[in-house]
Amino acid sequence: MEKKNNQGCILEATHIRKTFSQVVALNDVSFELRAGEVMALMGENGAGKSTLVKIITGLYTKDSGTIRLDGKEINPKTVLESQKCGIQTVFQELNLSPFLSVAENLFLGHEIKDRYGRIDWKKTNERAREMLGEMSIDIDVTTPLKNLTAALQQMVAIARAVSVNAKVLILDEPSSSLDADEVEVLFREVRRLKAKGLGIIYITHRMNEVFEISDRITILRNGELVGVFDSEELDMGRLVKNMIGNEMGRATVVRKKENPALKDAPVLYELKNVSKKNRLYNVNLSIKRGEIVGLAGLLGSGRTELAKIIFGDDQDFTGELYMSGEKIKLTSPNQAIRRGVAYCTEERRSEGIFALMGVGDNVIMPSIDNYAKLGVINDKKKNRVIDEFIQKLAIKTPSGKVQINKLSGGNQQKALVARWLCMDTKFIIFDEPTRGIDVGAKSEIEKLIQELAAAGLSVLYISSEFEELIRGCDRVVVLYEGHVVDSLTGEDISYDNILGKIAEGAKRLHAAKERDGVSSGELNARQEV
Amino acid sequence: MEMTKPFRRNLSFRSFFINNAALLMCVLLVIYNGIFSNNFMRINTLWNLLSQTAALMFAAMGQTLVISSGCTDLSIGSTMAIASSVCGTLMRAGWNAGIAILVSLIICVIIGLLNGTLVAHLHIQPMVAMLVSRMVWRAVANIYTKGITQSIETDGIVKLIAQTRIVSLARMPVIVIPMLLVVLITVFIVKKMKLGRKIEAVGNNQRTAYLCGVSVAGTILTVYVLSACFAGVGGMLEMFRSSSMDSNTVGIDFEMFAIAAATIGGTNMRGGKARIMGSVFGALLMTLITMTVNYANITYEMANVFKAAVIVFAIALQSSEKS
Amino acid sequence: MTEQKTFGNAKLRKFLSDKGTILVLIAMVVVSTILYGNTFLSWSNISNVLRQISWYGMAAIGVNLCIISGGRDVSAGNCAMLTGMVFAYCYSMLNLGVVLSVVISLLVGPVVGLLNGFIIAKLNVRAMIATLSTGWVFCAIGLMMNNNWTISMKSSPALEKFYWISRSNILGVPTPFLIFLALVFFFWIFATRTSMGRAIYAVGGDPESAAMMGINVVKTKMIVHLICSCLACVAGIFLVARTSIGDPASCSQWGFTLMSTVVIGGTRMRGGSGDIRGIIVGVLIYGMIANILSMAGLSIYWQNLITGLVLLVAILTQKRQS
Repeated sequence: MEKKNNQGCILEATHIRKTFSQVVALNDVSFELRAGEVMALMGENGAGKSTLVKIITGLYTKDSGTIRLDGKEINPKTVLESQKCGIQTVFQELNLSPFLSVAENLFLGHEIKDRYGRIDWKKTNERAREMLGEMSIDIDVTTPLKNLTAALQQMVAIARAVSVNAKVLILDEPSSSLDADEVEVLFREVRRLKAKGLGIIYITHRMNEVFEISDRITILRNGELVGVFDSEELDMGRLVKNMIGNEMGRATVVRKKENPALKDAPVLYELKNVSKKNRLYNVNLSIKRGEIVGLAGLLGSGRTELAKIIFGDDQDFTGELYMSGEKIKLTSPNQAIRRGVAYCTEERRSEGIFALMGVGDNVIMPSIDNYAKLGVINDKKKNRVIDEFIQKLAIKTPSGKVQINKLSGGNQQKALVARWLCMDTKFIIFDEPTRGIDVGAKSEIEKLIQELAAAGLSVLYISSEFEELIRGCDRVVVLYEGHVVDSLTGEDISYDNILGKIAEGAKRLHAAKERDGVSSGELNARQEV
Repeated sequence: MEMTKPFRRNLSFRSFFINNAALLMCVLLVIYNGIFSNNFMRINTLWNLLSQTAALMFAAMGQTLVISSGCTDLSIGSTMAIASSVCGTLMRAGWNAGIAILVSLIICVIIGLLNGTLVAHLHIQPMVAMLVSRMVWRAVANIYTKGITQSIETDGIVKLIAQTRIVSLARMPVIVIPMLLVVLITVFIVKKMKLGRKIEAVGNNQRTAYLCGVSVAGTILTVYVLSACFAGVGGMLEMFRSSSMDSNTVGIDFEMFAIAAATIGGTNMRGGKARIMGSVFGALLMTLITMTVNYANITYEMANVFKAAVIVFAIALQSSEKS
Repeated sequence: MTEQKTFGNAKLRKFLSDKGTILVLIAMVVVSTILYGNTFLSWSNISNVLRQISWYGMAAIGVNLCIISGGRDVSAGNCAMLTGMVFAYCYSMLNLGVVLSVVISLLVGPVVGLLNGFIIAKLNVRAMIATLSTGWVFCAIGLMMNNNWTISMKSSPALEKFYWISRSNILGVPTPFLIFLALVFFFWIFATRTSMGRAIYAVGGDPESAAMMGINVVKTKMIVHLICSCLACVAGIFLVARTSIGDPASCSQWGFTLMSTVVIGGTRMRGGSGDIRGIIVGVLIYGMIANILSMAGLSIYWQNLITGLVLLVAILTQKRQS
């Protein structure tokens, strides 16, 4: 059926497809934005929302599909081209110049000049004040940008974006570094721009905001369009289900059998009242020996932040850490490693592997002291251990000397796991261990994790694939925006329950914010989990 | 797919060239000189080449280690000046050669520690910090010797090492032995010691090294200390070879030669795998360039122009390499 | 109570960081006067110092712009020296006459600038190592021009007119210093009131953001290096006009000295900020250090040592401020 030109449709992307090497990032996704509306774009990691935005703004080129702006087809190849068409973006990093003044940032590239061609600062500053005044902001426009709070800097970024020919404004996670009051100011501005007829794409993972500010919500999952909904239609529960729901997965996931031995197992690692500004709020968590505890949550729930604190990579927090009952203070990962804590990082490429070094070197790096006497490495011993683990974990590589970045993702990951296994590790944190890996390697790694726990290792399992958590964990702790919502054990571990807990967390946080306008630890009614 | 091999053919030719650039250029110059210079293909020329490269080899080895860890050492020449000035002055004052050398080495260790502290603990950009170090230590050396060139009496073991030749081995200069030794030591460090693994890890990715429990600061301090010590020994060796101590000229530009040797030898300026044999040939290349320029009766300074071009060429090549 | 205290401290710290260098300068003047009295305060001494620092003050303006743009240029001093050598060579060895010699030497600047710009922006070699290498080359070329010797120039009426730019006084102030101040003023306007000037600051502050805001980063960097080398070239002309010889000596020191001058003048090494006018203070302080040391009878080696330490202190102070 012929699609009627939607009333006031300002941006239309139809049948967009984009692949990177073998991975399909976007598969036949269509997206539509009307003038004068706020459209939320939501989806978890790998959903494709950042790819879609990058295609619209010209950072990537699509493989196929069309983009129409105001009815005319466009094909931006650079950011500047899309800006000229009228698509303005404010990214999370803001992309402003920190040392230049506010007014300069607003006018960089198109300053107001006098008749000699010199910049007329008086007029520029005045105009800057006017622009910010329209946003009800009154600040000294000559102060360097870096002196402003994150919220105000963002306002400047938005002001700049809409100052030149803006038909579409894309805001990428605008509230990630704002507190509740600042978010209100942001919303006020978004509504003002909406009233002026701009089409606004609002990318966020915060569910409370979505209902408050957006008219419609587009949800992507795994590169596919799940649906476009009016925000009035949806509630927290249905929203979460649409974002992560996997009908197949729900039906086929078999829960892990309960392990009776865990009842009397001693507590190995414990966190008490751990808080980190804007990221974690009064987290209490304990992990027993031989136990696999899963951390379930959406983007922004604070899982990786927690992992970094546990591993000694982050000292900027309040609260206490205990290991085997003894209070510990970790000033560096080195200390955590000495105590037997291991961290298999989320970012394999930038924090996991030494790309240009061999597989063997990657495996033995943290434990290198074990193979060296007086600083000299015992090659025989080292190679023996490397070969042993290559075999044990079935790492497909001709030898330990091959450069690790020549291996597939799955084998790289196995090598990184091997890294922690060839030491006296007591507690290992897996952060998205199966991301970007083929199915075969995925199941091998899941099996491996079970074997480790059976042998007495404690495991903290962070994963966005809830099926994995259900399959593999003795206990699942659900986080939402840095708060522990609840802990599920035994028969309670199920897909619906995890989603339900996330929704519950969102509701409680929203209620708490309504009550006193500031998100605080008082949301966390639960003590020990 | 398990292992990806894109553009294998192009990649391996290009990689071959980059990995062996130093050796290739050496061969080129040897052939050129063999054709165009008189009396080049004699064993004595080889000995000259080696003994003239001796001091530079020390600098190149140290610099390779530092570059491998992701930093740079621009104070090598100045450290050579300090070491030779202190050692020479003490010897002239009647001290035992061995003790003088030891004292100089201790000073080198201190210089290395200071360098490492500036970079690893005070977080000053390595290049800038080393510019300061270079200026300061050269000035100290000059002040210490008042800028006067002095002659050094060499005898005993010192003379043996620096100035004699082994008649039975086709008159090979003994100085080749310490040069070989420093190469062997460096190869040993890189291939066999855990320090070598740590240096490469830090050069590859400081953050990952940190997450593996490697002490990044400790590793950087160690490489700077090693570089300073190697430089010191090299400087003293040069002083003994020429029997003169001149704080103004000893080691001048050596850090640049060492950077050229290391980069054309295949060690990437961004840090990572240390290609020791490449640096060895790179150092020989430096001397070959000087010799070629001499034989062709061009002024000495032109050699520096070529060496600077080698640096730019090597780094441009590295920058275009997709990692 | 505590709040008030920190407020007071913050204001004091800001005042020091903005005007600190001027205070240092004043302190140095006071100390020198106490130590050396009339020898220091005499007009002949002061005008001498001003005359001597003028040429590298001009070069420092260029290096300042370079650092503000986030780059580095340690070849500026050598470029100046090379310009002087070229002039002396053209005049003395090629007998080209003053005007032609000046024209040819002025070509050195753009050539050097384009070379640096190309290597840095197109070949993607990091600025520091690139300019270390090119600076080395200029040094070598300068030395080659007369077999490591200086080139002296036979006097002539035309040459005397040429010397005027460096040796005369206007209203009692050394001419080159006035020209230096004029250049500072000109480039201050350039930096603060032209698009290209602001682009330089933007690129230095955050190159990726600058690109996103529509600035051509590669073009900006090339222009900066071009300006820097041209200024160094002009500086070299003034130098040779003062010393009347082409002097290829003391090569490795200038790159460093100019960087010190810039940092002392208040420009941050990280780029993105800095006042062009700060060069005036930086250059005066540097000149005073040299002056004090020579009045104290200390050799040039002490000067190098102290300059090195001063730069170190300046860098560390900057780090504590940020």
